[in-house]
Amino acid sequence: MLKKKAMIEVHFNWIFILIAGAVIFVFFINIVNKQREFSDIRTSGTIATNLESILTGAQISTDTVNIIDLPKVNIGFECERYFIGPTPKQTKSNVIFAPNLLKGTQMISWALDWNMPYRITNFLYLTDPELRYIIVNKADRPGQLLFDELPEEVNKELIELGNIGNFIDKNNFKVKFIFFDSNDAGPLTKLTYMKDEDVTAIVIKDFTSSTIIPPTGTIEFYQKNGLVWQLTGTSYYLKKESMIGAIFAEDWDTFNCVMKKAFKKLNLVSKVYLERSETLETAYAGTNCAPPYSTAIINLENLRDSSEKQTGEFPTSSITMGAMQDYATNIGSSSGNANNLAQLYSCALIY
Amino acid sequence: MKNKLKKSQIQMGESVAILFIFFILMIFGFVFYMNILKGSAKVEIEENIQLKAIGIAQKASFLPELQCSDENVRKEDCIDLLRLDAASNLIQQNHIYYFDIFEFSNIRVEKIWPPPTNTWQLYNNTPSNFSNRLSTFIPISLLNVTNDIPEYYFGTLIVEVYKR
Repeated sequence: MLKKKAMIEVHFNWIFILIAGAVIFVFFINIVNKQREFSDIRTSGTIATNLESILTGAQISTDTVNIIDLPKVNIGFECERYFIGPTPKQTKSNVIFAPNLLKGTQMISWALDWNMPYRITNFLYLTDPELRYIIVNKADRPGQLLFDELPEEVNKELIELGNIGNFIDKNNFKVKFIFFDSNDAGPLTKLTYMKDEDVTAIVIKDFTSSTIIPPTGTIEFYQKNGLVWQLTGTSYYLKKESMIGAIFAEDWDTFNCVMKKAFKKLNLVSKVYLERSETLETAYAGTNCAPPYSTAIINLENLRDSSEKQTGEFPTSSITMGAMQDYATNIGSSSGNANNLAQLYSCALIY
Repeated sequence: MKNKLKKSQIQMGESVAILFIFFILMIFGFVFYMNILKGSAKVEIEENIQLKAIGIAQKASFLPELQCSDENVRKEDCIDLLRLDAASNLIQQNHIYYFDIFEFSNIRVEKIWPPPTNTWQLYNNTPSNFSNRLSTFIPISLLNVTNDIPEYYFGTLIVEVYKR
């Protein structure tokens, strides 16, 4: 009888230890989980704050390249939003050209001024050092010029079209090719294991010289489809900065969407310059200063109207881009244009 | 036998008491730790708000719609009065677009010298309820190009950012 009771007691002790142990175990697991969640939120918050500062900085200073160290977290980019892990944030009115995924521990940011001919906004380019950009050059095309334009920090390579057979895979998570005039599917045979959406290309048209990047042109966007390139869309660029945007943008859709934001800003800034020029024209009526302002007003009105159209309809045509470039030139500072004439007659400058 | 039962009951009671105290200590430690975390999170939130306020002030002072330029070369801390007139109307007409940039803030430009003083309301989105307001005063020069010789006035760009 006594032996039986002692046995029950021993068993009860073990059950008690087991339950208490389980409770302690669950308690610690809970703490660890809560901590992990908290640390994830904190990391996302830190990256969001850093990105906000980068975006603010990019609106202020130009021609700056920064390498930003990041915790190991995926940052997804779309035209209107970016994601830090699963948390979305708005890109708002910022003009950002970036691949849809940055997953390294570093991020490269680069900002350039977009002038038409007055300052409109800064274009921000974001990329990952693990992302590979290959410029495929050919005779009489500005491959070298474009290669030199891109910052040293970007993972870029210049290959002559004749040597494209020597292309080797370096196990990057995304590869982007930049071709002139037409594409070449040769390198795709070495990238068969990669997902189709991770291998993209753009073909820049309308280049005729190796020393000049024309202010406007046509860009075709391609994506790997097995062993061939599949055309996803055709768009246009206005000024070198937007052509560079096409290099960094994920695809045709994103490029167009970001460019629409840029055109919206162009529309707003043009309205300010238009109102200013109208006031100056009235103030200096009957003097030598009036004609430059009149020229500026006509071209600013055209820029305002075309940019408004592009805000909703981009991409329209290369002719529209050419016309917008002409309006900008007419307002500009080159000999005989409005700002140049205003300077010549010692009048207040248009911009 | 009764004694043995009592002994084991006391033993059990001891074990439960130890576990109870252990958990009490754990909860104390956890609450203390959470309070410290909460405190540091509060400081971080406050820092972020200040950072946002500085960011908005920077964006306002470098706005292409306002900034003076000479052949597209920007003049820092200078606002063109003609652009200011045009931009203040434009910003009010495109309030939603500029909300993305200035959020909940009140931005105005005050001409201080020479008299008479004048104020231009650039953007105003003051929330009805706010818990804090961070003000930044940026000394600026105001350029008037409507005279034959351009004139510079002295003014302040006032950026008030609200925390809801």
